[in-house]
Amino acid sequence: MLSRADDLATMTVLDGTGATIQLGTLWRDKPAVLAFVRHFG
Amino acid sequence: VVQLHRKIDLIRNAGAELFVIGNGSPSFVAGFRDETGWDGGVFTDPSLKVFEAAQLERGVMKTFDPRALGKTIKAFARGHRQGRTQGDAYQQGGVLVIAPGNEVRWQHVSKRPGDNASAESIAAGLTAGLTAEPQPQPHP
Repeated sequence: MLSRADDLATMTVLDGTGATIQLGTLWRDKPAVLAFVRHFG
Repeated sequence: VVQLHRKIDLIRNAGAELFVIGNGSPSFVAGFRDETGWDGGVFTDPSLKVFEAAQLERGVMKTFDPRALGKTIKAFARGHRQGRTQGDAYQQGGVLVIAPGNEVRWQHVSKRPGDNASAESIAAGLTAGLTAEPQPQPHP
C-alpha cells in the first residue's frame, strides 16, 4: 500500500514561471519541510 | 523576526530545507517573495491535488487554520504587512516533514481554528522531528 508520501512524491507543483516540479525531488537527498499555506496576504 | 531566522537556521543546520506550497496561480510566487523577502523554495498547486494528497482536509488536520502559518512564513522574512489574499481562501493547510525514502517524519495540526501554533512551537517541532524517531502528532 502506497503511503501518503509515496503519492506526493510522484505529484507535481508549479514554480513561479509555471514550470512543473516533481515534489519527490524536494526530499530526494535530505528532509523537506513542506509548509502548505492558503493565505499569502 | 531575528529569532525566527534563527529557527530557520536550525532547520537548515539539521540538514533539511523549507519549502512553501500555496495554491494560487504561479504569479503569486513573485508576489510572495516581494512581500516576505523569503528567498527559499516557493511553489504552487492551483489544482489542489497535492493538498488533497497531503490529506490536509481529512482526519485530524481537518480543522487546521493555516492563517497562522501564513503569518509565520511572513515573519520568517521581515514583517507583518497586510496584503490581499491570494489563492483559494477556503483551502486548509498544514506542515509535513518528509525524509528521503518517502517517510513522513512529522506533521503539524491545530486542535481547532484559532488554536494557532506559535512560530516557536512550529520551529521546535520541525527541528525535533528531524532529530528524533518518527512521531505522528495525533490530536483529539
